[in-house]
Amino acid sequence: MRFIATGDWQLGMTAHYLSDEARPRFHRARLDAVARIGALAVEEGAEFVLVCGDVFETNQLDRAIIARTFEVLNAFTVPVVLLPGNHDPLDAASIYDSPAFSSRVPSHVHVLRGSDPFTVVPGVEIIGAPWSSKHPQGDLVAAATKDLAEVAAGDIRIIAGHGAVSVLDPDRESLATIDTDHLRALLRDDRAQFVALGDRHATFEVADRIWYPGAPEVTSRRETDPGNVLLVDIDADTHRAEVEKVHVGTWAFTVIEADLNSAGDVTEFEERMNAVPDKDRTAVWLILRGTLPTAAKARLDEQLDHFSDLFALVSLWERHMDLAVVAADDDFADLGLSGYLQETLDELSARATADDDSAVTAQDALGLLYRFARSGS
Amino acid sequence: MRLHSIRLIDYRAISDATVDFSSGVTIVEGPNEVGKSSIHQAITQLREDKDSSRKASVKDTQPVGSDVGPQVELHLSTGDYELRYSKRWIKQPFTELSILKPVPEQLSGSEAHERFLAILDETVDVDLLDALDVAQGRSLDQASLAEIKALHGALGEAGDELADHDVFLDRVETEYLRFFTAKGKATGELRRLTEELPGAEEQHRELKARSADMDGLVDRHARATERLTNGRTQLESAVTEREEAEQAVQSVSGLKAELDRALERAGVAQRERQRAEEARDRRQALITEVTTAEESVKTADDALEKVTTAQQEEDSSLAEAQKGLEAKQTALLTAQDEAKTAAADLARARARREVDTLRKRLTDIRQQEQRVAEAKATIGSIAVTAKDVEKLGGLFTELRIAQNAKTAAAAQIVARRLGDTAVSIDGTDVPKDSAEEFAVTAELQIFVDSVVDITVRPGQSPAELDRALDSAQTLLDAELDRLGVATLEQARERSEVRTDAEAVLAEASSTLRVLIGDDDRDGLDAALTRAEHLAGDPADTSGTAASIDDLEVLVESTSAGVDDATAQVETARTALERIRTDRDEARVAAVRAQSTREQAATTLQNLSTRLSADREANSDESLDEALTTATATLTQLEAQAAAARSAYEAADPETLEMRLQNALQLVDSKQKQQEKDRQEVDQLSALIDDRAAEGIYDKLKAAEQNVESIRSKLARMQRQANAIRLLRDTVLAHKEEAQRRYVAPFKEAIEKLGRVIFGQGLSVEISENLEIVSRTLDGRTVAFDALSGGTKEQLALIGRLAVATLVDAEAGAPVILDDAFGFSDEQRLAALNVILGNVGRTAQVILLTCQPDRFASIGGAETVSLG
Repeated sequence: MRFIATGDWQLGMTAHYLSDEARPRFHRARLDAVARIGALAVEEGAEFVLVCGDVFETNQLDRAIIARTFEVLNAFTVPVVLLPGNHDPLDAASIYDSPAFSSRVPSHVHVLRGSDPFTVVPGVEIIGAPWSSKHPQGDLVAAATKDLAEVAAGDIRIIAGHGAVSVLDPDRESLATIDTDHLRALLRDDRAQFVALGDRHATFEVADRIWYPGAPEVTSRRETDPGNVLLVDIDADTHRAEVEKVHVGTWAFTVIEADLNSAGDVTEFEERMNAVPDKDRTAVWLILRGTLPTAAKARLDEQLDHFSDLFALVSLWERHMDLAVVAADDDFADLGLSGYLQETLDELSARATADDDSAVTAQDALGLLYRFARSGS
Repeated sequence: MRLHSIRLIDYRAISDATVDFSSGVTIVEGPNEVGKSSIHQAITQLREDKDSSRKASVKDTQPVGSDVGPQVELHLSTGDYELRYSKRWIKQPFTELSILKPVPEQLSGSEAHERFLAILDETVDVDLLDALDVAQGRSLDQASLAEIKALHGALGEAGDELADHDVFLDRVETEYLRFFTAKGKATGELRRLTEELPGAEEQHRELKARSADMDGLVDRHARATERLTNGRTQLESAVTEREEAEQAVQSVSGLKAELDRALERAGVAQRERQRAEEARDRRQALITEVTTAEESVKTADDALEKVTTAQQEEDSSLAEAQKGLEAKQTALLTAQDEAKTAAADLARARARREVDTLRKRLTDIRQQEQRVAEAKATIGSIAVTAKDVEKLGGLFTELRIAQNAKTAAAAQIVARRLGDTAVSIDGTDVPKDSAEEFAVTAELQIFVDSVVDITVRPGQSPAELDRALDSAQTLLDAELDRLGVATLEQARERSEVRTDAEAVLAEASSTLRVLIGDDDRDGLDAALTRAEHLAGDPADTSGTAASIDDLEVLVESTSAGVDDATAQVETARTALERIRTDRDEARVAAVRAQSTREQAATTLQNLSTRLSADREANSDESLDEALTTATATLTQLEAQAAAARSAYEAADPETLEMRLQNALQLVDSKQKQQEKDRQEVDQLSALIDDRAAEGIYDKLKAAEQNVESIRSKLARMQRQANAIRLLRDTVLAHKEEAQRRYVAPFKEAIEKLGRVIFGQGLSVEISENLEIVSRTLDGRTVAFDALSGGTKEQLALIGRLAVATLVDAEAGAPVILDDAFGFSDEQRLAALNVILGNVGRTAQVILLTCQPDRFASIGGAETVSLG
């Protein structure tokens, strides 16, 4: 039996930091990723798709997202099982209870509203541990699975949960932390054959047969391995499982670091940036360090403007930036400044080497002086 | 540039005048109406207005009332050129330019005009020309010196040359104005973003709050739902409790119902029994009534019979009584006849007896009358009356009294015989054991036989006693005489005879009176006659044999017979009437009895009918039986009711009721709580549904994005703004410093000239535009605009004069002052004269004035007169 395990679709999520142009594309990309999952299911002969929570970014979404989601899911030829997670819990504001959802949900889309076994296809049942609020008072997966009996040969039981597992959760005090040992015990006792978990956006194998498939499309620059789904094969008789990671994401969030101390460094940096593929689906956070002459900095600024037009995002990660500008004599010598302009240059150059924030302003002012004087000569 | 001379022909009021200018100060004097200002105007007009010009200011220069064209001719040197330049306007206009040096050349028309301007432009700073030309009324304004290149050149030579970075400065300014206003306030995008940020942040905060609010609502909903669930459990247990209580109460109420039913059944039986009893009683009453009715009928029958009999009896009685009455009436008649006869007989008998009586009476009467007459004769013969006797007796008594009195006065002897020996006193024996009194009026002898004889003689008696005795004797004797009698006895005898006669008389008279009675003595005789008539024939004694008494008895008896008969008739009549009444009553009674009987019969009939009908429905036995049964049932049911009551009370219904009420209230309160919770859940749900549809997340993200965008743009903008501001400030600071160095000679020139007027304490501040910003005098600084008119004029003029002294004579221009210094007092004017004299040494100064005296002390000045 083969199925696709995925999670954290985070549909409706917006990335405010992206440019106005990129933002709707990024928004759309999540739905496109879902569409590719549907296609993948067909290609790979998966019998169903299991989404382990956070299907939607939040319950407070504009309900228009539901129609768009269903439009995509309607193309699926296999059942799709949705598990409400911490972002879209089955609370009073649940998106799953909205008229827009309940009135139009396709028949092959099933929401795990409780922990009763759901037979998704003959011989395969899913035990879900849906979130009913944002603050569960315990390990939902443990609660949902504590009375499970051993699975008979020929049948398969899959656990679908959402949240941090105890081996990963840095917040050990969290009530909702999923007990990994309990999951292991379930699998060891053959009371379940696979555990698919949501909440972690990067693909991660917690233990044998305990997996976070991760988000099918990147959501944050911190994610190490996003954009995947898991193609899971389970032998109904032996209950052995094989997992294959399949990349479906098309977007990339990247951090580029560079030491820039000369015009040459700037050129090299330009080349690095030029080499990045799929620029319009890539968001770049830059960490630039070093000291540049005014002219080189002017060139760098021009190039950054240029890349901002190409990439979905080019952002200076200010917190980590450490790039200084010095007024190199060479830069201004050719401009033939005289009189009070020369005096101005001298003063700004002196200020640009100060140790405080005013240096940046002075460096910027030098840049302007350079620009205005150059174009005027 | 130097002006050598000017000629005006037909210009305003001037028909033809030429003024020569010295190279120093030239004072052109002339009254206003002559047109000293015309010189100033003519120079300007010559330069600016083509000969074809028709503008008003040109037309104004045509002399009034003459049809000629105003004409001006100016002789001047400028740069390397020496020129004569003439123009006429309006009439036969022309323009002529004669270039005398360096290369002579003659031009006319527009060419001349253009060429002249070109030469000016080439050789002199036109701006300077204008700046140093002070038209009338403009002397208070400072000249615009900033753009005067000639001055720049002069200053540049004197101090630092000011580098020409206008393009750069323009860029800086342009960039600066992208972010700031001229006054340094944020503007444009920077301002917009700065202004938008708080709003965007506020919106973001609001949406964030709304989102948090939404989460809060969801949490509240969850809590409310939990409360609802808990409430449901509590409600269920309350309902269970209520149901138990209800069940208990129900079983009790079963008992109660049973009790009620038993009571009701008993009540029904009670009523049933009462009904049966009443039915039976009614039956019995009916029977009694029937019996009574029967009795009544019988009684009525009897009564009727009796009454009928009585009536018949009464009828016969009445007939008998009638007959009886008739018999009595007959008897009465008979008796009446008898009585009448008897009465007649009696009357006759009585009459006869009356005759006898009357005859005897009359005989008696006559006898008596005889006796009266005899008595009366006796009485007449005897005079002594009884009364006289009585009087005589009285007198005799008087005598005896007198005698006695004499006796009484005599001694008294009281004698009592003690023994048996007889004792006599005065011949009187004294009885044994009793005292005997004796008066001694005369000699008294007490003799005791064989014992003593005692004589007692009286003493002398009182005279008066003796006289009374004599009187009484006398009176007695007198009376005896009068009566003709010797003694009292004799008197008494005689009186007795008379008294007897008187008695006979009285008796006879009385008898007579009795005999006569009330009748008339004479009537008696008539009555005898009448009676004799009545008595009839005394011989007829038939039927009259019976005595009067018999007759009277007969009359009496017959009268009684009549009375009896009358009484009997009355009795019979009364009886008849009574019987008749009785009979009528009997008749009425009979009728009444008949009707009573009929009524009784009817009643009986009705009652009987009813009874038999009732009986047909229910026999007497069945009624009795029903009553018995009902009574038995009642007893039984009452027993059951009592049992039910005991059972009910044993179940303690009050406690149960309290439990039930509590349970009901509990359910009620739980339901209300439930309802409240449900409403809260519903309200929250509605609120949440409402908000959920808003798409808060999308809005929040849009707002967040907006804030981020504004912030990052603003940060960039701010950084750029900071940069340009720094650059601008730095550049301008350095430029100002350069300028300060640049304007220094100008400042010095002004101060040097100015100190002539204002003294050594003067300093001025000069702007980069070479304008006097302020004057400082003895440490007191006043802005130029705030200075007095005179001071302003003087400083403005000094500024011009300073320029004139600074600018090279060849590159310079004449200072033309039209009617200036009108604001200055004498002292200042004197100082000005000194200044002008000094300036005139290096620069051409032309003073147009109507008061040449004001400038009389200018050294080296030439004065020309116009007109």
